[in-house]
Amino acid sequence: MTRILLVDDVDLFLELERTFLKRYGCDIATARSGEEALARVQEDRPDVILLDVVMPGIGGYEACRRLKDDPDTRDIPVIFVAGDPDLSRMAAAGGDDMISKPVRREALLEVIRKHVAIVERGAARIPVHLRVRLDDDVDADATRSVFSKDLSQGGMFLKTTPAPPIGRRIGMRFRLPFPEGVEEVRVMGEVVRQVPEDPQSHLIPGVGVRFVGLQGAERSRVLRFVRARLPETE
Amino acid sequence: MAGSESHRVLVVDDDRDSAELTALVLGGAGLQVAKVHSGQEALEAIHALSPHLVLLDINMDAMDGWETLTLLRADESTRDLPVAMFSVRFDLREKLQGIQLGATDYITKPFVNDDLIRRVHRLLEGPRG
Repeated sequence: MTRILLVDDVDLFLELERTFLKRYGCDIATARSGEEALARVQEDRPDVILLDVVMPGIGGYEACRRLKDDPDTRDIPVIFVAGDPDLSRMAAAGGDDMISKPVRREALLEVIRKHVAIVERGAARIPVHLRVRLDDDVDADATRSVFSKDLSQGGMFLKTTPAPPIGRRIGMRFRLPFPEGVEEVRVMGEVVRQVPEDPQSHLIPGVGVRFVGLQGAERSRVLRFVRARLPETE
Repeated sequence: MAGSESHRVLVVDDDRDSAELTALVLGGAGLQVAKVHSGQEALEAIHALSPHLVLLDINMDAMDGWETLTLLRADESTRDLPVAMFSVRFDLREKLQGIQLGATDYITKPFVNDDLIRRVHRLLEGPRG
């Protein structure tokens, strides 16, 4: 899931941006000052930062400069959000892009998409059969393996009966093929949807599972696999 | 059209004797045969050799035949590669599962040599093109 940090001292703007992004299955964090933004970045490493320019305290330009001075955070794209954009100051601070206030939905999505992939929720499911090994803590009989029906950056559908209950967390392992070879993904999944076995129904029985805490190299494997198979229009 | 002697077949079986036997039979029928002994090796060999057909044993350690098949089908470059599953026996459930996962055919071990050759030729001539 793409992580976006929204930074603005005005709640209204945060809410607006959040509303625009809600459908896109992003993980959204917010901060209300430059200082808070720096702390949040250290904590949860967003993929992209939308940074208001005018804020009390160190403000947007200085916050950006500090992020760009730090080798650990330098590569995170910073998009300035400004009512009165001063391009030379933005460039001097090391900003990667800008969008003017008032923010429109399409412009916001467009500028974010230049830097990270975000996709409308529901459109990003790739139908794919993968063998998924489940470490079901509750069942004593250790590992069992099932097949997936689809995969998205946020989760997958597993063909499995009987279906584990909603809320159950399951350790999952699966492999993905890449041109350079096969790579493994280990992730915790939480059951969020159940399709019970029903002879009257054409739906495939199983569970929808949401990835919990997928990050780092394993997260980028899933993203790469999914993105490479998305239709061009997205 | 190229003759069948130029067709490449990859045999994947972790039972070395079984792989050897299969390779001998198919080699004797004029096919180019390579053999590997795990799913992981199979994926590498398929990219290196571009075989026309893969005979894939189901029961292998680490990465079994079904998982190997799913990885081949999830990869654009091998999505349409004919893959015949190899096993001592198939029950109906396994066959159905295989169809869903994209298996092209099933071959039961042990095989009668002429039957295997006939099946393999049919798969190579296949509904492609």
